[in-house]
Amino acid sequence: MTGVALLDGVRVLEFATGVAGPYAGKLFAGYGADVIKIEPPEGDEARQWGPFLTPTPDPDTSALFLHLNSNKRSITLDPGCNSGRALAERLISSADVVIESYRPGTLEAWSLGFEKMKALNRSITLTSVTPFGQDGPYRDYRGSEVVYWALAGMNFTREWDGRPVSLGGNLAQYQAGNLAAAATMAALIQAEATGEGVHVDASHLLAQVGSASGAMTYLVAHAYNGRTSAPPRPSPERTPTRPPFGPLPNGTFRCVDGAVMVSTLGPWVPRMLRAIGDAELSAIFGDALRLAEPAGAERVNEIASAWFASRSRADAMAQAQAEGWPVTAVQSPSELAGDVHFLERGAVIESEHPVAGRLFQPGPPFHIEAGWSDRHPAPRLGEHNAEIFMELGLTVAELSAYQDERVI
Amino acid sequence: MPGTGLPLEGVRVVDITVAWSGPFTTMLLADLGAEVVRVENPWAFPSSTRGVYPRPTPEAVAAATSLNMSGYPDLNPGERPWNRSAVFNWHGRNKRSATLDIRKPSGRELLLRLLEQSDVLVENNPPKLLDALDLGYEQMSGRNPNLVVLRMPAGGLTGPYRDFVGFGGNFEGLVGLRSFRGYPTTSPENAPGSLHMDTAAGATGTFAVLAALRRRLRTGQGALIDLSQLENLVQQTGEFVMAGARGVTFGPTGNQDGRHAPQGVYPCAGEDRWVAISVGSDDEWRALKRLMGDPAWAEGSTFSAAPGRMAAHDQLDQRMAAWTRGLDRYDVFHLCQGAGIAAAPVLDEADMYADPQLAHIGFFRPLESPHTGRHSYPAHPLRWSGPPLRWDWAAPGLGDDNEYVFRQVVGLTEDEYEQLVAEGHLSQDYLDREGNPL
Repeated sequence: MTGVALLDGVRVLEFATGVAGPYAGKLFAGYGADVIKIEPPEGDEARQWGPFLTPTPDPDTSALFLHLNSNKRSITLDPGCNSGRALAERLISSADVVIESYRPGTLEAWSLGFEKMKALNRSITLTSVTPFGQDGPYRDYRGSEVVYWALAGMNFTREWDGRPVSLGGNLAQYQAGNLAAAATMAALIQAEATGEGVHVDASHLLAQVGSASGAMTYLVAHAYNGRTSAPPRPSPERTPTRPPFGPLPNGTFRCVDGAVMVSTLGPWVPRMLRAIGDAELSAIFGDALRLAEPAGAERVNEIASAWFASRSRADAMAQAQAEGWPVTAVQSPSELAGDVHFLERGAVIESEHPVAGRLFQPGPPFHIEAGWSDRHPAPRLGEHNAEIFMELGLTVAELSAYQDERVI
Repeated sequence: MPGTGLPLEGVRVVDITVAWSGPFTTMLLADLGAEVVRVENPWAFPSSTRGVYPRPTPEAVAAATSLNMSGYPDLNPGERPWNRSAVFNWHGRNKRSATLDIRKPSGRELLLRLLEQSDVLVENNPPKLLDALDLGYEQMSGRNPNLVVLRMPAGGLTGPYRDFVGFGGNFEGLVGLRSFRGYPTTSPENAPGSLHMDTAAGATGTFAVLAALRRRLRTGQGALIDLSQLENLVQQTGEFVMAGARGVTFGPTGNQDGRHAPQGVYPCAGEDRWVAISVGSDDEWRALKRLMGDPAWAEGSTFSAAPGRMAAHDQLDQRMAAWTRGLDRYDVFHLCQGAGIAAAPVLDEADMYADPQLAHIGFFRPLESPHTGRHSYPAHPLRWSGPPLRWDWAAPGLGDDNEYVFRQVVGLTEDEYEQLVAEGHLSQDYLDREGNPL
């Protein structure tokens, strides 16, 4: 790596807890920004959320927290009290970006709203990340992962019995943070060009309804002809469903060591035929009449199934992909630390945490010259109090006075 | 577009993306003020980009159960279905469309000439596609050293999966996204699929281009961005990757998450009507109990603290469902939220268009086009106090901006332009091998 890090010299204050705000902060931290995480005295709530890397939950061993907060520095501060606010103001004066996830109106109640921030620092970028946004009838409503998928996504994500199901994990919250990071970067460019700060109102609601994962396509489709994404009524029996692609192998196939997923659109049939290399299969696809018969389609399925059943997932995937036939292994997240592709590219890296020990954790989301670096693991609560408050010019006496008052 | 005051005003983006992820990135860049020029090859119809199929019959459109296939105005694919598909029109606003067969030497050269006049290139094809045309970052930056090039294939620009092809719904299984979705008894391959890979990559791609443009403003340097969509998904599953590497086992938990109890999606009055409810603390549980009328079964110590509720979650789910079943989903939603409990009805597209919060935000905005007529579209996923985001025109038809792009932007002479026509680069139709409209 050469040159200056992508975001070198950018200072971000993260008054945010949970997933979305901290994920936005993580993207800035990974690419070289100085991200100071301001935690409430009891710590970011994500420190209490699993999965944990130790048998007993510990605020320093939450995998979620460790992942979301690597490369950041942590201080503790209660901006709700007078002396805490004074410190927060000094921090804001020194920063380029503030990311916050308090309930709407909280910063204003502390006299730390956007107008006040601009008075302290005219070009400050403030990004607020909330469930439903800064105003409107739902502004005080609360959110959760399942609530976000209910708003958009769940209607077309159903279990076999037709019940709506969440996409799992914390994906909606990550995505809200991902979009918030993009908007924050746009706001930073804007503020640097004009000298005038911008307030970004990022919400989980807009991230859900305005996403590419089907929501927007289906909204436009609805506007075009009134249909909705509600699925057809499910069958009472539990049968694996195959998409309506006729005799083309699509969906799940079993291999020796697990399953692969297969997409075969019409134009891709020659790729499949080359990969499988079976004379009978090629003959069936050369004979429109035979292909149209149920017996022909059944034979296609048998030949394809047998081809997969005699191979490992990795071999089936490599041989099919060599011909451009979309076949992918179904893996568990635990397999990634042993996956040759992701290891080779540094998508999973090893690091060391003083409490949690040796870690495998995700590397960069994208590569760019002088871009991402793994500088230090997620901080312990208040790990950088002395360092950062001294940087702000506090004396040792002032620092210990604040600590005595429990402001820090 | 003079005087938008937006951060990407004056930035030109050449967009050779397909499907959903790359187009989502260029949609956001256009919203933020960039001029986005799609360069599309009329000789190769890329599935799932301007429709799933180039020319579905009206009967097939009407019979399709997937909105990707049925999403045409009035279920009518029309003369040029590729201009009318929802699959393209959700992201095409503010963009321009030019056609070019970049597989021909003259097309390749013209793309490079366009890049000389541009600031950003975005593409999301398997890398071998551009390799075959000897068209990589080196060749592009040779013509424009300040160019920011975002390449976002599934596997990235190196490694064994580099040229892998597929759709997000299948690829997500490769990085473990299916291992925590669905009922506890659901195997990963039978879990319902999602296209989260596309939406996640689209947002990260936007962040990456903006960061690279910001650095370029300061240093003048261009950049190659290698964004593997799979690795980007690994970011969003980081906690499972880390725990899995440590030997911690986990699996799908339906709509539960180990933090909230009760939490679930419960049936309401009416057919296929549901409400999601998440109870995150003992205080919230007491509030919910009051809403339910403090029923006798909820008294006592079993449910008063979170561990007890977690242990008896299935029983609690049945009680909750018995309560919600007779109620309107919106009533449950507002009751719960009014008492400080996270909840939401499961919304379909009609519900979203009628939603008061989205109406307040002004999320749906009209656009009119000769290809599709006038409709209300989902607009910006971003809100800010900066200048208004672009909302200038509806998605362009294939090749609608050929004259503008090749004459005005590239500055071709009359003769050169005629040459393009003669070589079959310019078309408003997708073409078969003989050059006849599909």
